[in-house]
Amino acid sequence: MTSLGQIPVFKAFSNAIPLAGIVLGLLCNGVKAEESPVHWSLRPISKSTVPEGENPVDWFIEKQLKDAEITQNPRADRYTLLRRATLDLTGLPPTREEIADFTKNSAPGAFEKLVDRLLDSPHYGERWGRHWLDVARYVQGTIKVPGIDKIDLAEPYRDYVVSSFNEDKPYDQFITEQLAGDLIAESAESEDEYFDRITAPAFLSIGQWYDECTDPNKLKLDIVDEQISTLTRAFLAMDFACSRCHDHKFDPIPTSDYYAMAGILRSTKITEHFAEEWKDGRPRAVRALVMPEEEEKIAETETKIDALSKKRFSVLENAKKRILTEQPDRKSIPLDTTIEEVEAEDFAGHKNLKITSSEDREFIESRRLLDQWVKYKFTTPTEGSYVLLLRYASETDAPVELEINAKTLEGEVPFPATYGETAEHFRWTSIWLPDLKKGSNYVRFKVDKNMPFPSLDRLILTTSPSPLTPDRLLDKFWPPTTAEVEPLLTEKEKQELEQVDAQMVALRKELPEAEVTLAIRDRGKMIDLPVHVGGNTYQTKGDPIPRGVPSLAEAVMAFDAPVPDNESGRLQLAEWLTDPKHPLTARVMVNRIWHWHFGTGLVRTTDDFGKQGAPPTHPELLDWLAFELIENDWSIKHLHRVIMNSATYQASSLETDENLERDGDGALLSRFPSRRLEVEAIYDSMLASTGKVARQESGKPLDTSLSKDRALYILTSSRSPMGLGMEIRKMFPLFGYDPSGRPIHDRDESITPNQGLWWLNNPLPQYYADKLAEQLCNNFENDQERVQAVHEIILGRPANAQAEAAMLAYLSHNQDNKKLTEQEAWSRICLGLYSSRTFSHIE
Amino acid sequence: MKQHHRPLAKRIIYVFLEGGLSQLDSYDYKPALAQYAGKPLPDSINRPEFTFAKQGTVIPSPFEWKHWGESGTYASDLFPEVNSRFIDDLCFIHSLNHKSNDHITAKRVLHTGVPIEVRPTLGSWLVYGLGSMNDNLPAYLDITPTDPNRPTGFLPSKYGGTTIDEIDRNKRKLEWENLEQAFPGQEEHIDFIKAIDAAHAPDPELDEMELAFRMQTEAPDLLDIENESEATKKLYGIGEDHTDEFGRALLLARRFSEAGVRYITVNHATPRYGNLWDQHSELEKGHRGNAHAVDRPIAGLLHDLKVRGMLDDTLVICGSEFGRTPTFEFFDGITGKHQNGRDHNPHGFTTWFAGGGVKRGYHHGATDDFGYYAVRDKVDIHDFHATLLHIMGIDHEALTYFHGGRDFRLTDVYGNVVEDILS
Repeated sequence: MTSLGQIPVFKAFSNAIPLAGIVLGLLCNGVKAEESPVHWSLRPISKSTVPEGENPVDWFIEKQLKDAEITQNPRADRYTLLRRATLDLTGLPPTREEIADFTKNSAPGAFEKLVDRLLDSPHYGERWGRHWLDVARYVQGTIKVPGIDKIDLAEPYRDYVVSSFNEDKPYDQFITEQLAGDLIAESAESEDEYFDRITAPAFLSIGQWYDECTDPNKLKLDIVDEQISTLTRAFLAMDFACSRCHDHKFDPIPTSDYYAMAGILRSTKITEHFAEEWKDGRPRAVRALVMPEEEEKIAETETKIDALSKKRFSVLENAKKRILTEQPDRKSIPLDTTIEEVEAEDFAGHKNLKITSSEDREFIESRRLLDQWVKYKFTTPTEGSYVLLLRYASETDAPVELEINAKTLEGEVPFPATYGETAEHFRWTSIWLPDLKKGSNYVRFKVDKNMPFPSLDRLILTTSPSPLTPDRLLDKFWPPTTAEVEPLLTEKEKQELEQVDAQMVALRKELPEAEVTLAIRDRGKMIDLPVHVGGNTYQTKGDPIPRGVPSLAEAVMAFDAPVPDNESGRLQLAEWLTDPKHPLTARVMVNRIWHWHFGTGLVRTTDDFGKQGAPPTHPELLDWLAFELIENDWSIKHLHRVIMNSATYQASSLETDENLERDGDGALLSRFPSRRLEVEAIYDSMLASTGKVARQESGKPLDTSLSKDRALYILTSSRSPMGLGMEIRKMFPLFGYDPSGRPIHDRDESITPNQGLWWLNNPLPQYYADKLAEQLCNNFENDQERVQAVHEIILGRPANAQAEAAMLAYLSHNQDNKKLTEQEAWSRICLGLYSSRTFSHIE
Repeated sequence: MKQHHRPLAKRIIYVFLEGGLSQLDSYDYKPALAQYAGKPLPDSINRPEFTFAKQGTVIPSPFEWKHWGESGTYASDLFPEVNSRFIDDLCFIHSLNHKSNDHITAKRVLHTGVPIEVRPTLGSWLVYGLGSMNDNLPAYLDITPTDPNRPTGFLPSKYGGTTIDEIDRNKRKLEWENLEQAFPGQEEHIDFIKAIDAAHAPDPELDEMELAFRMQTEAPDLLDIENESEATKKLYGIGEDHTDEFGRALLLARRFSEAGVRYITVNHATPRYGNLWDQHSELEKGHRGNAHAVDRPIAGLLHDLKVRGMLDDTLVICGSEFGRTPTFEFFDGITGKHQNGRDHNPHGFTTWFAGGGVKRGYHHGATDDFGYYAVRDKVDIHDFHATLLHIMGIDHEALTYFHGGRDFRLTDVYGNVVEDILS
């Protein structure tokens, strides 16, 4: 293929210019599709006709099986089918009641009804939403790679994804909301829809970046690159990131297309501010989950509060003038209890603070709203209690935790607001320090992430027997600053101040305590980017490329919606992606759905539909499904029904000599491919076996409070899981969960010896085995009943004669030879069942 | 896969001094630092546009420098034991360089070749390429890493490193997760699991469970260093306050190397003397204390490998993710109160090698007069990795993994083997 880069500036929207020079040209010249140089995934989606009465999925699969002269396995037995479908759609094993119901029900259409019930289950979104969260590179919680900026407040996005799947939100709408929800929020028809739309674009903001990147210009482009790579792989199964440095080596993605899209994302703001120096912070922007009217009201209230704080200060200013005129000769009384005086900047250590100087004074102030602390060393003559005088200022109330010699004191030091940080806003306060040692002591002030830290100027350790009242402080430090005159106000001034304070308190009460989500907005001024040579931050070539959508689909779809000057272009990008004629969007998604059902996509490389990706094993089926998705209002649940109600989905997973010989890797679907479950399903199955997961009724909305111990929520929140918390967190990466924050398109299903060690020795499966054994011993009369019950609970089917014999033999071995108690012996059985291949596999 | 050519070494022990050993205070002598003390860097010296922190004037090395060994290598007195006993065995690269000036990306560059993306480490590539030398042990160990469970990127997790660490703070023992048998009679337990699977489907495979079981028979003995002689323990400084911890780690590295583990990283990151090897301030105190903790153990390791005849086919590497600047940094903001620390410097730093595959008493490459940028025979990270793979018998251009539409290499599309340092 000729180099695509030879076309100097390529206009994304103009159909007059042939696609990258040759592709469209050849098509227009009447070259047949098969010979066309257009890669299969970029050709129009074609719908083959399926004979009346045939299941379309089976028809296409059967055709290729026939060619290979191989017959598909018969339908799996009912126990297997129930467990397969239930784990597949909800990530949970069937309950004993569900097993009894389904296996007894021989009415026609029972499986279809089962699928309907599972699709209506609120747990469906928890399972399939998690699949999407992999693609969206969602991570949160304490599993993290150090140094990468940790993302708070992504949970609303997680819940948005879960509920979108539960609602069967049309996939085109799902895409649009995630790319440009904020831009169409105003037209939402309900409050829920509005919140969805402002929450969904967090998709662009939850990517990971290195907050220690020293070159801010490079980081800005790195963030855009991360967004481009994530979204092009998610929606197009093509990685545009290659084209940051050079025209894509294999696929029709010139650098100009990359920078047209990069402009869209550079024109999108995801950070609150972006400091030149990394230590000053580049926090993600957030917004309250409130309706626009309320947002306006909040802004109004905040303006009023601002005005009041100014008014408050002017009352004090006037009072100060009066006081200094009234007491021109007053002098401060020297402080005779001083042991040690320390400038705030002479700390013994700090985190995320900085030294600032203003008006000849140096003080320390907040640098980044992460964990902030400062530590001072004081040397005392004797052990006992001391009083620390501290000069500070703060815009807002800034309660601070106090730690003495590494021990945290109860309660917080208040540091009430002084409503500003100029020299006149500083004031002295007095703090009680109990139980200092003789000699060196370390006193640390600290606040949690996102909490304000007061600016500190000076500290004096004194032997004063009790904290100094404001009056006494004034005696010692005369003349007062404006912030310090409060104790000297006249009745009238006091009243005036009280009035202002009361108004402020009342206004603060009006501010709602709204949930907060990551905010994504268009910038005030749009930014077009030129091509950066070799991806180099500082070396560009040619004029800025106008913001626009990629050119790779031009051969099959006319798209003419230029990006308006005052918009980033995210909405146009979404419109382009969701155009029914788009050759990739539907194909990529149906392939993902197939992949999540069968463990392997019809295109094995779910994130690469380019020339280097795998070709589809069943191209006609892929296209038929893509068409079906588009024609059915992009309904993902519709697709589940189509797929799951096929004989192909319901075939047994039995490996026979015949199907292993002729369909070794299972690509022809001669059998249902057995595969290891994701770690969430393995963990949840253990948890559920002990009755810890309440099954929520189909058709009802999800109640996350009932589900909160499921792996999804442990993995995606900072909350500590109950009991063996650390062990639970350590389990996830061991079984293929990648916490690094890169998009995951295919879970790592490696089976490793360290997993074997885990099943044998880790306390976590042991813990659940003990719990379950206790329940078995309490709830069932005899060993036969227990055998059947536990086998069904853990493996989803009654024990056959062979399994029963093995269990009873191992039970008596443990009781008779190993001298274990009955319950201990049963615990060993449970552990063995958890450790079996059958338990952690879907079959 | 088999080696592409005859390997020069069978295994690697990478001693990683986390935080940034100052080349200017250890092995890269620059008299200009003393001459320019208190003055800004001259304009002729290249400097980066962005630094990790604001830079001050040049500060001299607080350590004493002299000639060591027969090779007469000029080095500071930071590592007296290593220098007095083994300086002639070491092979230095003084011109290592990359572009990442924060710890996280720099460490990733060192271990994986790229700063941001999650890619497999050198160790994972080696295991992927060469497999294991002992069926009862993992092929790749990370001893006391600060970021355990390094993800394997696109390589399957079976190529990942197994972490050895102090799991229980009270036990003061290095071990690995889930290795200790939770109950006796695990052979029968595994038989039971097999029987359950067999009742369900024919031919269950439980290879990994069995390998796990075999690991439990071999690894605990290797982890238990109590049966080593007192002389050996003393060699590594075990039992002495400062050196005990790292001595244990390095002794384990030797034991597992001997048992057939191919690639071992041993991370020195105990924050006992300040922020690891990251002396933004208090350079002398911090580096001195850190060096004190590792000097004897490293010398002990080299000695031990030598007397066991293992140094011939074991490559020992020692270095950091970057070096440090010739200037002091404005630690804690703007005041320049602490003018006794150095900032990060990835533009030119020193790492040494010893053992299988490399020359002895050799110096490769050089930095400018202030030790800021590599200027002669520069070695970038891809060259570094290409050389290490070469020493292990692998052609870095031929070791590829197909992922996301293309063949990936540890060295991307770069890398030249540094032939000069090869023995």
